[in-house]
Amino acid sequence: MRKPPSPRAAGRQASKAARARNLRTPDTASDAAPEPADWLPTLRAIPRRNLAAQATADDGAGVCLRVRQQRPSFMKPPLSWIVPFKDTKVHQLDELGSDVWRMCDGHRHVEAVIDAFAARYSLSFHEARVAVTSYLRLLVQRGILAVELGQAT
Amino acid sequence: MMTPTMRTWIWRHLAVELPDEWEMLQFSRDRAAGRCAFADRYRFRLELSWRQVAGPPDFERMLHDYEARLTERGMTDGRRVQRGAWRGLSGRLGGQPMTRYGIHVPGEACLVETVFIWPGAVDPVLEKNILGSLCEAPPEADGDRRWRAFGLDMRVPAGLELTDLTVQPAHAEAHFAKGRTDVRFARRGLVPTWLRTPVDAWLRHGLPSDARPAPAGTRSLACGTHAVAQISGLRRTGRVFGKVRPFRAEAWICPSDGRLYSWIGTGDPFDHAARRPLACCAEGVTPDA
Repeated sequence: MRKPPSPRAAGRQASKAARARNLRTPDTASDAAPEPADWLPTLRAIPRRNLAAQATADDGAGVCLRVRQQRPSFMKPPLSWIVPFKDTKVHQLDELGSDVWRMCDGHRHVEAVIDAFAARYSLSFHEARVAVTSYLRLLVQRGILAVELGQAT
Repeated sequence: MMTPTMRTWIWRHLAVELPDEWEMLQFSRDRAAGRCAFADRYRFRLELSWRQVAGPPDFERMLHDYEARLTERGMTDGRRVQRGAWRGLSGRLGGQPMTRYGIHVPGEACLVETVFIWPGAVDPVLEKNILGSLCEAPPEADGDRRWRAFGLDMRVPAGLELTDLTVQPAHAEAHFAKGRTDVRFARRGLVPTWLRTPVDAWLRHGLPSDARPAPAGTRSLACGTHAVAQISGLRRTGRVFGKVRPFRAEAWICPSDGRLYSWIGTGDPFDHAARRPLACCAEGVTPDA
């Protein structure tokens, strides 16, 4: 059973990657403007659940998701005799991750998910943005969610 | 146009009041030259940069050079602007209105520059308020320097430099040090999801390995609506010839934002029980115990 890191841990990883850049001091004077925002398209996107992902347990503590896997082309005898292929992968989400999953109802934009997450856990908008978007990225990578990109305004 | 609620940021002894919604997303620790960038929820809105200079720069020449460089980069509608002592340029870059100003801060011997990015039209009132609020944060009565960022309101003993800063979702931690004196401040969120022990036990568990709490050094204090756990004692660096230094640490959960605040200071400046270098909100923990 795979356990994705919590949104907090996902945010921590994202911050770590961005940290070196954040701490860098520009060598020259400030005729260079701040980089353009790259998070606006993400805020307008709508996360949608993978219909093939089944939430098998939601007892309030965490959601357990079963996602069907596509059999890789190389997974055939004799390899599959030695390494058995499981056609379902199980992901156990923690409390925070489960909340994000529940908020991704297919109607809310990422921005609304971030706002709800920030309000629930008393975080600032950007704290919640880093945590939620990095977690959504993880869920997308694992085939649990898909993100429909919207129109940036 | 509505005036937004403003929040004070103090960074590198420079204080500025910005709309409450703006957050610092990029920062430099470097005292000699660096920059901070603030963003609202959709885009970067302000870049604040500084550079130590020997004396007041030749603004006329500087602006001329900037103007030439920016025109080369495609700036249109460029014109000189002035707001009080701030001198600068306004124009459109990439179709977006942008204003930039510079000022010499003699107390800090540095040149401060600001770049505003306006999503629609320039908001002259907001611009005026921000520029008017930007000033040198003077030392406190006892010589401490105040820093205020990421929800931390810190009073740092004179001479200590920012050596490390970690900013992650729901976790901000700043470390100031000079020689054998150092202080570490932290603010942690999402407390109910990870804190499984009482605050005093958490504080004791997080002490450095060389810290020896005094027998009567563990106390619980009530500061307004806040319950503060405090531990004091000695730290010995090295086994035989190591120097003994006093330390003091405190932690509390602020009821107004639910975050766990903590600090640990080592060295003589923290040997006074009345000194509390970290504040959270107006109702509870204040700088003086």
